[in-house]
Amino acid sequence: MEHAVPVFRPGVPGLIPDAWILGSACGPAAPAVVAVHGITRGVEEMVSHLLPRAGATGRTLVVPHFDATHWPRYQRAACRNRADWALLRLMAALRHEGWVSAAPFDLSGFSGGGQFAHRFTWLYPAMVGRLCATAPGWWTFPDAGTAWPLGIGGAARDACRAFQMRANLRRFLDRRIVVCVGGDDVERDENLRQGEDIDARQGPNRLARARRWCAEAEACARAEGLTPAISLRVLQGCGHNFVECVTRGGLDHDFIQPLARCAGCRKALACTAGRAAQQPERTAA
Amino acid sequence: MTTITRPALRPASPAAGAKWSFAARRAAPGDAVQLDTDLGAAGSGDLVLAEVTRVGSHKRLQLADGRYSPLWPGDRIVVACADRYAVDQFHGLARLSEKGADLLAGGGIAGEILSRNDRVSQATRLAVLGRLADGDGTAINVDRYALPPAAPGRPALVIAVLGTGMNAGKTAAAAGLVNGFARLGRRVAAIKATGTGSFGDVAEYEAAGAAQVLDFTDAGMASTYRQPLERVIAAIDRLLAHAADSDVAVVELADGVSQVETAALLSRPEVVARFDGTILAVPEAMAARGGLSWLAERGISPLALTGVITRAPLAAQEVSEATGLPVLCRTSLADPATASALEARFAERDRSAA
Repeated sequence: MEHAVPVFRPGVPGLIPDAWILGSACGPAAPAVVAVHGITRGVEEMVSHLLPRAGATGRTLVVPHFDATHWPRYQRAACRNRADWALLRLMAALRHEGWVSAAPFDLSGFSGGGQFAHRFTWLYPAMVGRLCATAPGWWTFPDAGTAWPLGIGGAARDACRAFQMRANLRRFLDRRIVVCVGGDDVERDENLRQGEDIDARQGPNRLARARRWCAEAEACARAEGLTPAISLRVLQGCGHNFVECVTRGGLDHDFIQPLARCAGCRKALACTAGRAAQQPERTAA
Repeated sequence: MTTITRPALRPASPAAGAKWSFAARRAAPGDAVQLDTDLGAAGSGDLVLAEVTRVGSHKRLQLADGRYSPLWPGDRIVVACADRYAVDQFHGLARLSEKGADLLAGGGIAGEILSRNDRVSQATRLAVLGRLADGDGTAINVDRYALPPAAPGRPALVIAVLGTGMNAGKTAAAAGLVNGFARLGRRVAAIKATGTGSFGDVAEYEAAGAAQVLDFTDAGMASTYRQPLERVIAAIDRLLAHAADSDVAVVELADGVSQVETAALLSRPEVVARFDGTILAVPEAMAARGGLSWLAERGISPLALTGVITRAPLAAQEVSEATGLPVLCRTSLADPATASALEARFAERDRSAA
């Protein structure tokens, strides 16, 4: 594979995160996949375990590193240091440098990265084709009665965020959303946000929370008149561990989907020439 | 004996050495080769050579190149004769006389004052030397330099920024929107559709990241006040057509919604239909209610409120609770996530309308 070696792209401290990039054999026309790490920030581990799949599918892979110094709470996306703006800047730079096109990219994330991924997609639904959120510790629910970030309601000081989330709700739900979680991811570890309220609202562990979020998101999509394409995949035999989820649960296949077909050569899966299809796959939930 | 043949001398421009104002920025100085002293014939948009006789309210002139130039008695300036509507400053008409004229706006608008806000000092006074004329003796009007007609078109998304009055916060809101959409990766055109020629708004739009900035002076008017409505509408269409390769246009309408031309524009459904949505800038809660009520009578429902009111969180909360509308400050409007939300909201409207 011509671009089998990932490239490290240094960022700008506090503005653009460092990133690992694996180019696509299809060139920048192939919609990219952005994969976001968890709060342990195991970026290189994530890159090494996603490379084979990215190479096999011909997808451009971008793995940003939201370092703890500048983006300590990147999981919220719209956090104080605005990790969402940092990703916007990174993708704009990659477009300018010819790595990616302006087409929507697919966004995947594990743990804290799953939190980031679903909130970023909610804030910028037109920029994301397919979302794969894996094992977030907690979610933003499509609940106007609960204030951001647990829901999309707004106290006065968060009125703007509430407006953003509510306005984007329908567009957010109107896409392929894959939620993954380990079947054994039921430990209440120190990284799991806990408390009486959140346990009652979202569930006692990541598995329960993922199930509840999928059910509510699907119900909300139907209430909006949409045909939801939201699915939950429980990774059997996996706990809260990215490498285990990939090696045992095949999470890399959820993170990186092959293109439905190349718009240039019409071949399925990876192609080596021509323009890639601009639309991600749509699969019934 | 040697005969010396002298080349024919081109007559020196009467405006040579004068300061050319922003309102005259599109004109070609070389076209002005003589003066027409029939001041009674002056109309809106005519270029005028004047001399400053007394420095008053406007102590600086906005130059064509975007700089300010302090004014001194004796300065010669090229300005446009035009009407002015500004409740915070002057109300004046496009009239000139041998007795002189008033500098109605710092962007380079001259005319006769009818009234002024009592917080504003007397206008800078001008002696009118004449209207600039071309080689045929025809008075030069700014409409001569308007952008040519363009193929019909417009950006995919056109948002109008309205206000309940002058200084309600429209330009800050428009600049915020421009910045938010630009940071979302969109190509943004900023258009000041009505008002009085001034580079302040243009500079603010440029600084916010607009890829293209246009105003009514680009459509051949020094001021839209008292211009025929059809001319103003045609100018809006022309500016939108020139912005057609942008993804988004943010269009600011000057003054309050009840100002003569703005009210007339917003009372025409086919004009309102040119906008995919509106945002209303307000200074305080009751103004918001009044403005929304006025707009509702014309079938216009703004997506959000903004403006000076956002400086007071309590007032913003009050009006948000009373109207059910989000109240978005300039910083919020400059958030690309807000731009994303506005796009979604407009797309939703399109879907509902389909």
